Amino acid sequence: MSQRVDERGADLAVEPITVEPVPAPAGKRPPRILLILALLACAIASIPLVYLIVRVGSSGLDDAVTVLGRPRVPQLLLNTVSLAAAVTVTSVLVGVPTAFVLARTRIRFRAAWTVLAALPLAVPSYLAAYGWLAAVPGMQGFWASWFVLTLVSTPYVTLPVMAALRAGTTGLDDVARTLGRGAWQAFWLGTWPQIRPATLAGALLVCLYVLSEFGAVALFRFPVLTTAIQQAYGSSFNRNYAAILATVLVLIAMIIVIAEQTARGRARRRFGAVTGIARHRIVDLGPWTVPAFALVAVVPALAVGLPVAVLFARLFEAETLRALDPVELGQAILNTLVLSIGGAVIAVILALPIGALAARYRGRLVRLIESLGYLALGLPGIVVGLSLVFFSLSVLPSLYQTGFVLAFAYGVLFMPKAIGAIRSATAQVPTSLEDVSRTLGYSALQTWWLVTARLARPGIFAGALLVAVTAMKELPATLLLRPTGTDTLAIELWSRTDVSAYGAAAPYAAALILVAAVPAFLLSGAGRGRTDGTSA
Amino acid sequence: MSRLSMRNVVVGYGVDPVLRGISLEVPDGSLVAIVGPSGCGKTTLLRTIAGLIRARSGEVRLGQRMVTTHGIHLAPEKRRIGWVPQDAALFPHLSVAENIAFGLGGGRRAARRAAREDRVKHLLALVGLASLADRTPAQLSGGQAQRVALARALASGPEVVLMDEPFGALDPILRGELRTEVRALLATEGMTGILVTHDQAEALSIADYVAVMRDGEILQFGTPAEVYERPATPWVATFVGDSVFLPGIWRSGSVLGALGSLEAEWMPGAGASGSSASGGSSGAVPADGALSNDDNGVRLGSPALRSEIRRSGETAPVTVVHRGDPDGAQAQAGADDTARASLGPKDDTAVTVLVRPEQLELTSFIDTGLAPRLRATVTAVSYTGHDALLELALLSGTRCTARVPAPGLLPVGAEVTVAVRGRVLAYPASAD
Repeated sequence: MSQRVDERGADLAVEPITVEPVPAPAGKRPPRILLILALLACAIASIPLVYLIVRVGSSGLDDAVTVLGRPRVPQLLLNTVSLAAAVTVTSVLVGVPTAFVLARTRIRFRAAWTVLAALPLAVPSYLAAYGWLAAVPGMQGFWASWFVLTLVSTPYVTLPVMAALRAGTTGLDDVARTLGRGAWQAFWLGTWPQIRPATLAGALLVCLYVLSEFGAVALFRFPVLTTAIQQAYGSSFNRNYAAILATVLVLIAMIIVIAEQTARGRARRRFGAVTGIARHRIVDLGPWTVPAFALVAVVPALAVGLPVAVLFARLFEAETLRALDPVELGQAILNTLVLSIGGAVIAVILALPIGALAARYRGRLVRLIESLGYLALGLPGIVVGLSLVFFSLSVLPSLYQTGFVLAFAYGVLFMPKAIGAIRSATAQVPTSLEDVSRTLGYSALQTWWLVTARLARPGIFAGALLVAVTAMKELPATLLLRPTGTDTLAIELWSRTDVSAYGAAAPYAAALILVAAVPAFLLSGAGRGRTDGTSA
Repeated sequence: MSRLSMRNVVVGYGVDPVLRGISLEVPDGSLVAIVGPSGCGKTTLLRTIAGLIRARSGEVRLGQRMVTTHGIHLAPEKRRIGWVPQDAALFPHLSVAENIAFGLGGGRRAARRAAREDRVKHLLALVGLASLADRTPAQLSGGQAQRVALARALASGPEVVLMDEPFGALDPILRGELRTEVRALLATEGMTGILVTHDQAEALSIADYVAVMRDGEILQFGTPAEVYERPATPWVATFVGDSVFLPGIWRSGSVLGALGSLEAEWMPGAGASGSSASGGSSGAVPADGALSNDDNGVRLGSPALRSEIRRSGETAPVTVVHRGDPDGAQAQAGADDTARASLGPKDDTAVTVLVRPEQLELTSFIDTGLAPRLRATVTAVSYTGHDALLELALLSGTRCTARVPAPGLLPVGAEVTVAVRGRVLAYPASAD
């Protein structure tokens, strides 16, 4: 009798926290067709990286040595790495406390603050930098880049840590307190291990974001690898120089991805045994109310509020309105939409087999395929752009300078976002539904279409939207790959920054924020409400 | 004729398969419960029948069709089976009626059309949910969801309905109601059903046949009465109900032990099939040496014998050493000779007898003339409402439990006389 009670108790305890997808039972192997499709998707998505390596490899080692021997290269490396490190550290220092305030304290207007915390993601870095330049014309160099990039990339830490805090429990803190530890020590022992993986993942995103950052650093005239690649590509015709610098940049990014993977793997192994229903205490702020308000307000105000206010102030000046060409603006909006939606479609098509595989099956091959799919996380936009220029020129000249190559670049660059969305949406569909469908006479493929894909649809759609929104703001790959004469909002905005035409840039900045921010808003709603519709 | 038959089905890889050669014949129209502790492979067995798991070897036949044999594996969608999972697994994007109609084929659109058909209405009425046809699964209670899942499984007229712990997620009262309903429903439809559960009371109360599983093997298959009254091994006995195990010595048809001479039936099956199980028995008996230190050497040639009381599901039995009492035993030895001698082992073989707690009859009257060994003291009471389990310590030191109706409840410390009602079962002493 005692055993039966134990079992029921165990069921209760385990059920609410099945966040990780249910591992497939022993001996369940993925269907061959799915494996082939996933491998094909990986192969297609790795075209830019593979072609870059092939090209650099074929030009010979001597070339690489001479390029890397140039006196400017060590300076570029130092600038790139130090900026990435500085921004990552400050983003974590600001992001983790912000997340704590939003997730675990009784702060007023919490819902509004949460939306505001995510808002900087809707503002491209070059737009924020441009707004600050308009307000403070003298800003430039390392500190300016560090400041603005910290502002725009802090949400990459805040959001995952906030999610981890919400899903986590303070039960361990309580145990630590009863064992005689102070509040801070209890947090360190109980809560920190739960949010450590999310913090690391966020830090990784920030670091990669800064490594691939182009617009803001170019505006602040701070020479890093990305801007050097762009210059080398644009000015000289020794494109090998650009390709070799791009390879170096990819290497740095890959090292960071691998380091984070190993660190996270260790964290997960050490902290796998927490069971029980997630419950946490909400803290009263008391005297900390004002500092907490300041903390959650500072990032959205400085990253979004000030630049947008400055640019919008120019929007309604008479000069601006006279110079505005509505046809040109409309064309740019249309181009932006078509290209980014095309990119989203390509990303989802490539990500579907990988995400479906990763959600349902385990094994070495599956893990390999999934990590190949996430490879693009370490691929800066400028690298993908450069490589696809080379690739389309020498392999598919008919596609060179077409919108398809640019949409494909978006698809490759933002495929990891789509994989993540598809994977979690699929994993949320209980496998028992698929079992039932099979026994009711539907084949595996019919089951996937009628049940799994149908129920995962909101998640997949959200993933596609996320890719589209991100692609709208993409700058470096767009600069390299856009068909001549096809201007997107990002390109129009960028071309006006060269001449400090703040007024003329304002309408495009406004359009970009509106087009990209609206879906971002939808996403924040969709992500919270709809995903739990399956837990009947 | 059997509706489902399995022969030597092995599932899993390596040297430690999940199912180690399952053979099972399920008669047409019967309800079979597969019961066993968690991890014994009972759900795997069910999934193998459904075709959701591939068998490594062996045969599965459904009705007239061979669905699994030598490397051939019929896909689950072609097996014509009904599947009721533990979580009901109703499609959240379909209404109740559409869920049931989904089983008629053709996907969602066809399901929407078919949702108005008579077959669906009939099924809804059958499970008593005719008024909820247009609800979404999220609006149903757990019991209602399970009913819909059952109706959906029945919709296409399957060969056999497979139910994987269908009542596991429900509260005890609802559980009892629903299982009687399900049983009646399957009976009216003339459907063959297989039900997996870890609850032995559930298995005994609703099934026509019970299969007791452990470690990927079926230890016993029989009617609930057979399994409870004549369990194949001591382990089965413990799993299906509260058990008292007493050591004793076989004397041609009866057993001499702490409760005197008891008429006993020899159950050799344990020795024959229990070879794999006996390995576990040594681990289940704790601290043999430590306990025999308490023995003051009053052994008189008989080994220190242990008595065990096991609640169903308990793995580590309470073990008590008691002193052999050969004088008293011999006094009654000759009287209870029966004609069963030829069926048992050699005389003086050490055996373990199984006594169900309800077989012990207690009287508070103390007859001083009676053998002192049959006198006992109540040491603990576990009250369940309709009856109570009393833990007893015999004067000899042996412990046992007795089930008494609640009105006859005795307080702790009461002195009673113990008698055994009916025949007991004797197992080889080494069996588990």
